[in-house]
Amino acid sequence: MIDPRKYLSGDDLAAYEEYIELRARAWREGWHHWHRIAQARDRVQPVEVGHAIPYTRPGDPDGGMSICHPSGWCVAELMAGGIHPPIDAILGQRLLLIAKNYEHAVVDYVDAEEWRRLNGPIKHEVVVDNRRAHTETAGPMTYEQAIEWIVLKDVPSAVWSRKHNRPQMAIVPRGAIPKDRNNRNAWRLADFELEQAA
Amino acid sequence: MANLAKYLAVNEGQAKAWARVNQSSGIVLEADFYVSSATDVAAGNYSVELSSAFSGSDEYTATVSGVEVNSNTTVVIANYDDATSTASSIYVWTITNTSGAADATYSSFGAFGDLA
Repeated sequence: MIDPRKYLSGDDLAAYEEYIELRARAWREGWHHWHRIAQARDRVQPVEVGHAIPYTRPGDPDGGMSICHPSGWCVAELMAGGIHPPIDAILGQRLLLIAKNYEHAVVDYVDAEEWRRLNGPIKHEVVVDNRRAHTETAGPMTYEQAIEWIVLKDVPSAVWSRKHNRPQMAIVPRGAIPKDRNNRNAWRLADFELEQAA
Repeated sequence: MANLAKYLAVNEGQAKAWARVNQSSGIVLEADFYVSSATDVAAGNYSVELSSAFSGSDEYTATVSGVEVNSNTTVVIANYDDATSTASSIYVWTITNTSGAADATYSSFGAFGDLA
């Protein structure tokens, strides 16, 4: 456990002080993002998610393919609205990342994956500003918008934020994912019927 | 007031996120809380993306279990990979005594700690 104040200064430090006070109040008074999800269980039922998102990390061409499977609960919560923050509030969450050699930086969530890749194993990671996740909520979404929200949050930004020479991601029907996993680690994106190329 | 005191007393002991994952034919989230998606990374390796982050990568821990349903002899070791996990992604390995890193039939996790 580290004290992030040792690594923060100026606006980042001021934002952190405000954030931890707001987070404590949100938790004490029951309007933390976690409470909103817990309270929604009484009025939301999970949807059946018909799609999966296979992707390849651009900086790791030999690393094989990952497949993101959205949670039916999360999709339902997003479709209901008023529970999760807007996606830009998540992507703008501020993180203090400290590498094993103690190189450190404060970056947005959307840029954190790239910083981790460039700076090697991370020794400490601390959220230093997440205020908007507690104070803002997104309105009701369609199924497609909910899937897009999850893609932007859970698929590394290097996959979807830049143009690549070949598709790095697709949104495919769940049925396109093979059930036989004997050769799982040899799966490649080109093996799938692409419904929507990134 | 007594209820509030009781509520505050168990805050740090509550599971903030949990899931049961069917690994038998891909990664299927059968039940979950505070989870936005699960990512099939490789055979015997998946990550769970939380709805929002813990307050830091050092501010939580996860307990993980795995089971191989159709075998009386296969032992499954399920492991939370804290070297790869971040404040908002929990990486899980399932390893069997017969195949090394391999998918279990089911695995489950619960994560405890301080949320962002």
